[in-house]
Amino acid sequence: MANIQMKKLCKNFGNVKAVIDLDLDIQDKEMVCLLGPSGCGKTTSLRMLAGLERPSSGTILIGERDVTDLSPRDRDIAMVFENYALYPQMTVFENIAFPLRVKKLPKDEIKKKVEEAAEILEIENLLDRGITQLSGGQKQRVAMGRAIVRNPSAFLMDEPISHLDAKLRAHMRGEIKRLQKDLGTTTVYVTHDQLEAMSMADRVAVMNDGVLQQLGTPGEIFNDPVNEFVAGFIGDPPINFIDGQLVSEGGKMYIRNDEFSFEIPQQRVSVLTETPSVVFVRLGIRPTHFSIHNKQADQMGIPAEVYISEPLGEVQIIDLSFRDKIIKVVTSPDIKTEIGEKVWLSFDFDKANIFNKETGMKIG
Amino acid sequence: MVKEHGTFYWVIFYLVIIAAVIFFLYPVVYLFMTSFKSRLDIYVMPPKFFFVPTLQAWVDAFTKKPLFHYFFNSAVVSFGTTIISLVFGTLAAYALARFRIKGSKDISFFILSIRMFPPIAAAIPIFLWMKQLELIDTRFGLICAYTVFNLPFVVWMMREFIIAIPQELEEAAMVDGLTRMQAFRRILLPLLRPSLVAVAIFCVIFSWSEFLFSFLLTQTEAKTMPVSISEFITWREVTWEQVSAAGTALIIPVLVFSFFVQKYLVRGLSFGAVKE
Repeated sequence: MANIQMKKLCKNFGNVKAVIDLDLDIQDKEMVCLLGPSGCGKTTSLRMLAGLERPSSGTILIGERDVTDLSPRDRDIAMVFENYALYPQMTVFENIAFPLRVKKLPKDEIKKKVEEAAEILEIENLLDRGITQLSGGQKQRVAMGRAIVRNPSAFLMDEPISHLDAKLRAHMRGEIKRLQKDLGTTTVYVTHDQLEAMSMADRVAVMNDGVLQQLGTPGEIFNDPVNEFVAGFIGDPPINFIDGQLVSEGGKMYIRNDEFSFEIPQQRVSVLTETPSVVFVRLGIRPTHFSIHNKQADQMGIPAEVYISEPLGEVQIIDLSFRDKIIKVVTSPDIKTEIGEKVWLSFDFDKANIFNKETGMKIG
Repeated sequence: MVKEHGTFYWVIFYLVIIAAVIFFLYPVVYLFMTSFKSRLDIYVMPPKFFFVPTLQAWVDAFTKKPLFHYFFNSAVVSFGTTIISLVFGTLAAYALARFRIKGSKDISFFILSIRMFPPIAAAIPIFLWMKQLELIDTRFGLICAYTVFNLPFVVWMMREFIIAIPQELEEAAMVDGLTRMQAFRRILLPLLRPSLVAVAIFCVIFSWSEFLFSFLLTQTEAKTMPVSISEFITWREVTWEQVSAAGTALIIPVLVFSFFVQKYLVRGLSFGAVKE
């Protein structure tokens, strides 16, 4: 068991900067997901942590021990790969036993440990099988077994369930999270799937273009994103962005454009006044934070037109067109709308985020 | 869906197969038969397919010349070349396949281009070097010369075979506690075994039947079978039955060898044609 620290970690491939000044402090027993689109540097970061890539600069500590220049075998970590990387020439038993065999543990101890791991993962009946005879889900479990059998100080997982079908993936999310909690092993989990990250992680590290954007609990990431990228990457359907101008009038602050003018609640203004130079802003509003009305209720109304509605059973998503853009709204399936119908949208300003349009950073 | 074929299709199918087999096997069978014919039977037209077999040609061939010695040379040179090429070629291929080396594609192609080089053009320079190094008429000299032409082939083929195996296997092994070399030996090498055999076959066959360099670089001591066979053809006479006996002796080991490894041979020949 150990905490993990990455300090000013950089990785360049030729002229390409894959990871830039990554600072990440992962607590003991914690599960942190590295989340981001492909090419954001999350896998490279994990591979540096594993010792499979040498950092261009920076240091990595695992349990206060500087492992930056150590080879993978000396780091006391276990890794689960995207393609499972099971040794095809060995049986399931031999695959799980492999790290123990390398350590030259006595035979009966190896047998005991492998059987324990197999029991936890419910693959006891597969131990004599060859790797080629396994389904994707079984391979995934064997790969997990090979990782947990050695009781390492940290698990590194690189998109371990991305090749499973949707149903099995949803099942494995819960399984892996429970396993991690039961074993209490510090885990770094790489994924591009926000649902995986939000549902499994204690904290999520969102990365983009090699730079860590935000590290926080799933709640913080969702409700209080530091910038437009994080706000836009998390959430399905994605957050809606509406452009406006910041206007100060008679001691009050407004966000305005041709269609609407919203007064910013007093408690939010204090934050805003710290950035008086910002004029052009972007409101970020989650699809669940809107409500739809068929007439303008008060000042807080955005005029829009129904583009299409997608009933999903428990909820429905209504796409509304507003200034050549589509605003997605999640509502109760009881609300009936017609294509082309004029409606008014209101939203909860407390839950909306205001971003600087130029820098993309959150300003309130 | 597999389409059902009629009788006519199969008749044509087998006729074509039989024709192809006769076309390719006839020279070998003819060589084999000639080696058991008496000198008189050889020149009969049309050729005799039924005759009284004799071992005279074999006895003459192996007593007139030290063929056993040449045979031994061929074996040493072929296997020496193959082993050296495989060891160094596979290691080079591993580096080219697995490490980020600047211009590794260009290096690979450059290595392959050596193989495209016409051997005759390199023959004289190689002869002069060998002379300087006093390697003329030594088996080691011949092994060096053959390795020059086998190594590029091994590097190129093995590089492709290694690329086809996911790198994560070795990485997993390294995380599991092996060094890079151990991961290479314990994880990658067992998976490469069929590929190594396939490539080895080509190396053995090339070295076994090579003529030009053996002719140039050997005199008596290190001479190999193909060159010695050509020496049955003299200005005075051509002893075809002895040429055939020695020729048969030359091809039998390759035939036996190929028979045992034919599974791998197909793999080597069809590599890249189908995705595994």
